[in-house]
Amino acid sequence: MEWINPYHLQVASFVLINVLLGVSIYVTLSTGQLSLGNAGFMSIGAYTAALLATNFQVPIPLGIAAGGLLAGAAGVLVGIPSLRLSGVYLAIATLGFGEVVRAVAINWESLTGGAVGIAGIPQMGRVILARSRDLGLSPESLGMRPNQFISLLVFLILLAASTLVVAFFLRLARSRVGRAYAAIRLDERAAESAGIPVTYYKVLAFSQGAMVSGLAGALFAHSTSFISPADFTYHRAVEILIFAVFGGSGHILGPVFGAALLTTLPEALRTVSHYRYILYGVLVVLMMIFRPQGIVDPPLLRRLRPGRTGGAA
Amino acid sequence: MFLEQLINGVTLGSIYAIVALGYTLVFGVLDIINMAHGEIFMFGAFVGMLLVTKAGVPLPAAFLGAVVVTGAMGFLLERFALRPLRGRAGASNLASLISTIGVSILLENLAHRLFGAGNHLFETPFAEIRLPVGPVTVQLVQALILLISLLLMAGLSLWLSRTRGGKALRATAEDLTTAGLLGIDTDRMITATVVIASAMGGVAGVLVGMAFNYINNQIGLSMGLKGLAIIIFGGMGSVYGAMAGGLILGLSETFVVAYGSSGYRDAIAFVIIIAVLLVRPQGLFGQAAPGAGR
Amino acid sequence: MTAILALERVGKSFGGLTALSDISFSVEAGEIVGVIGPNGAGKTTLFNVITAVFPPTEGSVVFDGEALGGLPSHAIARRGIGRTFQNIRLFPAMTVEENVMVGRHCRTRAGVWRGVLRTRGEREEERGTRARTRDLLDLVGLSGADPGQAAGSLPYGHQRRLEIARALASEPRLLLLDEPAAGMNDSETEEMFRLIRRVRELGVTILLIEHDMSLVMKACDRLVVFNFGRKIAEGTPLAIREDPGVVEAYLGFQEGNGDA
Repeated sequence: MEWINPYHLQVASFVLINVLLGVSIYVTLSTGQLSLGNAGFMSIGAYTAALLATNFQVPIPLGIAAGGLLAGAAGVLVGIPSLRLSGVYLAIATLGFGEVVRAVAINWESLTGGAVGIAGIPQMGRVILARSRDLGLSPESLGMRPNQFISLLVFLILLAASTLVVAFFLRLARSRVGRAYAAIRLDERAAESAGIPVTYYKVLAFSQGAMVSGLAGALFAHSTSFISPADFTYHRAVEILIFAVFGGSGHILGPVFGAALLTTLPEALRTVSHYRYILYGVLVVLMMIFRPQGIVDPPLLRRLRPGRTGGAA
Repeated sequence: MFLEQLINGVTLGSIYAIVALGYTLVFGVLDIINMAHGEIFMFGAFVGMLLVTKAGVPLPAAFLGAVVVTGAMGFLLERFALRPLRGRAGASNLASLISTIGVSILLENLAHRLFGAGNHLFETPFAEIRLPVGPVTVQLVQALILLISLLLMAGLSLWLSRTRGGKALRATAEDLTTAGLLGIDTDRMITATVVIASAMGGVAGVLVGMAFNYINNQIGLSMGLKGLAIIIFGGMGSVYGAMAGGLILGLSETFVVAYGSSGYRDAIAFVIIIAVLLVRPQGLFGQAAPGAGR
Repeated sequence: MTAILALERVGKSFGGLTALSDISFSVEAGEIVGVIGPNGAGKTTLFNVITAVFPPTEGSVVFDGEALGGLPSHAIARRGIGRTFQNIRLFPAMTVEENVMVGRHCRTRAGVWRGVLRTRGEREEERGTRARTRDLLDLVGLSGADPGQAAGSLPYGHQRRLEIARALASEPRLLLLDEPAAGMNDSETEEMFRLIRRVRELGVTILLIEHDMSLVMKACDRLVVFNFGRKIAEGTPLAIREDPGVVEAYLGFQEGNGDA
């Protein structure tokens, strides 16, 4: 079992959390709306899960679900006023929302620990390790060291969660609701005239995106066992946007690809990582000029999978 | 105390107004938000700092230097990040928004590489001079900031309403296609707008350095966010809305810090955004509510 | 016969600009009524007012005995008013089939969970939607087109018909057609005429904006004539053709300008 490398698993776990975040912005973009507040929703999920686990000993799965739901509810509250207006308003309002959430996290010290954040959040892998020891099952009996076992568990849980989420939205894209999303993205007025309640679906998509961000945040809190406001800045929101802009926003595999590549690449190319964000900036402008739909788009996927046709636009 | 806070608030507000004017000019003409404006403003501050503190040149030369550098940055931004997207089928104003976000990431991290992450002192020779005016004492720096911003705002208003160039710009803002048909070189007007807006950002950068005595590579982000809040508050594309909104934000921040909690100072702007979206979505001076379908 | 659509003193102004004023007329169920008038007379604005793209500033629009005031566009589509646009507004990146399926939206129900879990009810509903879509593509004469092809890659005339199929998918009782024959040659216009008649035979009432006078005269039971945002005449095609006021305001103008 020596081939199980905790460091590689940790990088893979960050990839999966970023995949979830990439999906969260994609879901909102699939109705043509840009959210810059996903770092804020992520922090709502993370703080909710962390506080429930540390203060009230709520079981981890329950806390994670609560984090996602609360973030989704916040999405409805932010979405309703701003979605009545043009897309630019939503971008700015969500940007502002993220900053308000961060200001609250920094200033409400008695609840959130202020700028220092919350430490000692139960780590999923360690909790399961302790449980399985209680049941008489030890990693050693599987031929693993405890830290291998822990990182493997975290990775598998995140893999299951992101697979489920991606599958959920893949299926949604091919359903009646997914067609409504695509129609709204392509031409709001035509969609409305064809009988689609545009505002309803925009709020729905926006809060689904917020919920996925919250879920990612909650999983993040239980993977790292430590969170602070510095994890959820505007820069995080921009990084999430870059996953979708680079990978592609016309198909869910776009942000998945973008998150995976842009998370592993700087790890692999340490020398470049000094200039990482400068390169990101240039990359974003070049993408908007030459390939605004991102690297992965439906025609590319069709070419990669000959023989299979159809699917959502 | 109250009067002094009032003066502080008006000073801060007038800087905010100038930053917001940069956003509003570009939005008025192009219908897009220039997310790189905050970072251009920050470069203005750094150029001013280098010239005043490191090179020791007089303040007017520092302003000139900041205006030249930020104006050139505006030109490059328009040429390479906005113009290639213009008029392309299917390019929404979200594409331009994202493109300017790219420029802002580039500039912020470029500043990090060039100037580091720490604070830089911005020393003005008359930082300590105070003038007694009636019952209060006013810092000379504050008076100067106020004077410069008022001159800039008055100049912009006059230029927009009285001159040929200003009128052409307003026509372009009204309707890009029609302005083109009337023989206005719209590409040139757009470039001019972005350059003027960026140069105003450069002036605001130097003013912020004078007001706070230090700068760092995060001021672009925080000032940029406030500028955005102000134009939503004042009404997108409204020149007077940007001025009034800037003043109101400056005053409310100053009084919240003076009589409340300083920690939430930077959040006020966004509480304002959300309140405005709920109550009066078109903003203070906005005309009709913008349609969702454009 | 009962009026399916009645406009009562409808007016619409944008800021200070009056686009429509004091428009009253009604459409009987089963009729094909033409709306004609020079460019800028307010015809498309009329459609936008009926479908609440811009709600009227004065008067009321009554559909099937109920005033539509305050309803959003999608609710009006659900009530039974479908429309097409002067400059075709399909979803170009979606397939031909998906475009029509979008039109079924307000007649189907599956929400997020049923769509994701693919429940039996959802699968049945999707099958029904696809079957209905095939029928509609047949009806508008697109049975030969590949349903999986992007709508934006269809030839122009086919896009017009696809848009009509999408509008029909919502089972409208009243269909608003905005210049369906614009840019078509004589034989295509003739096919469009036959399609309009076929749609009427399905029991759909039609309000038609069209510049092609031969099509309007042939297809419509009655005409309403607009000029400068006002209704200047109303009557059978024959009566309208003889009306000296109309000839002066519109028909003469039209001939003087060649084909429009």
